[in-house]
Amino acid sequence: MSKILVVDDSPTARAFMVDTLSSTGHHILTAVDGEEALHKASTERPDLILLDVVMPGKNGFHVCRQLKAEATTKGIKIILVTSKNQQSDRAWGLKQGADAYIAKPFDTAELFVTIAQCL
Amino acid sequence: MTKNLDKKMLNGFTREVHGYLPQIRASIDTIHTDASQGEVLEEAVRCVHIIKGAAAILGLSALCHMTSYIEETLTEIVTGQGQRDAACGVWLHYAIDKLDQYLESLLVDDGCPQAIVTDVVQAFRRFKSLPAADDAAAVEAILAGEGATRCEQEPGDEASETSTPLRHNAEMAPDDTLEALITTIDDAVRQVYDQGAPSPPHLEAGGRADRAGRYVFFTLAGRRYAVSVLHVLEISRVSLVTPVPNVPSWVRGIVNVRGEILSVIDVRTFLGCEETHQGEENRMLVVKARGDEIMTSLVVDQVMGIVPLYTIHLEPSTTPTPGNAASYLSGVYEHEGQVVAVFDLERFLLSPEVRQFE
Repeated sequence: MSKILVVDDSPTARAFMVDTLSSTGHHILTAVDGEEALHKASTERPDLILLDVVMPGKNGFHVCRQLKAEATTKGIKIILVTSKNQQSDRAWGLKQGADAYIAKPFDTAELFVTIAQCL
Repeated sequence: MTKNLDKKMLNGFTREVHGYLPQIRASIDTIHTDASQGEVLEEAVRCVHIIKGAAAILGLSALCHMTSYIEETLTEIVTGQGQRDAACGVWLHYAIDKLDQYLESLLVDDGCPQAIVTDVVQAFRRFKSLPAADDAAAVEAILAGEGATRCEQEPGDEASETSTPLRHNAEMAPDDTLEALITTIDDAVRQVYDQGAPSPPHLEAGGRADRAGRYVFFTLAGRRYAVSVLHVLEISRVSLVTPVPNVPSWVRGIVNVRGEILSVIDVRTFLGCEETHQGEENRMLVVKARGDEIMTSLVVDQVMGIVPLYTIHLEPSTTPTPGNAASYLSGVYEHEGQVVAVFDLERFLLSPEVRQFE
């Protein structure tokens, strides 16, 4: 069983992800913005972070760069989950060190496969 | 249409959206009354973006589409590309009211509220002066997308859901990153040389020279420069730059690059070359130094491409360089018979002049 941190500023999106992932048996945590994500990443040490991009304060790209630059958190897998779905956004996201990128809307099976590839 | 969408989830989503609507409506009211409300409008864009993202996650693709029209209009206003006029306010208020109606109709399970989608598509297309003849096709395309979403599937239709082709699966292969792609291209080029093509000047015998890395080649005032690709995050056309008062002439202003506010430095002017050359071929390099600590964007005359260099032999620059460029060069390199000055980006970005505006 792995620990997954879901980061999204939308309560609906967080609730949906928690609901969807509850069947996988993984331990699911949530964070509402970039600052909380950074805090929980260092204190909870999740195996994987599902990270929204557009958020108040530190955005997902910023959080991704910061986590991948820290020796203690760079091993955490990061999947950017965002409705910014242009190819340039995808390439930029991967350039920030993200391990994968999923554009909203996504298929639930696609989410599960991408998570499985990362864990 | 909500047969398969959890009512509790839908109720939660509606509550969340209703929490954002007063703020969005108030922001729209400022559009043609106060042009200085940039931050208020940016917050409205963020709220609309949240609604769009949550709608997409729930599989409400028609709602997602309608919201994207609102986001597009607001973004154009924030970036100065859209008109701040009464027509814009009227369209946005209408769209927000329709969005609210659409949510209400979902809650009462009122079938597919197709009429609302049609109303919004028509209003948006009239606002954008798009031909009415294509309205029906636009509505149909949106509703077709809705049919493919999770919430429209009948109970027991899980098989079709799991058999849906994984849209991004091929693209999301772990090794399919930009770096991997570039490495593949480099290897393919090397294979051509290995098969007998003339070797590039700095490729050692046997075709396995140490690679010094890839460099972005660019020009300034007619001279060629190179900077390590490790420092370059993005190359793009020069986007909308917001001027900033009381800064040197070489700071063009600031720019929003994917949520990061960066200074825009006109390198030509900074180096004391001739007058800035502004043209279609100008490019903006988003660059970084000291890990990710320092980020800024540089305007250069032209980007020639990204070139892999092998066994780089840097020599002190003995040729005259324009302005004070020599202070920021780590040496020169001969590439295909042309002298290329290698730009020391760390030294440039860490210089006191640049640091104060970084």
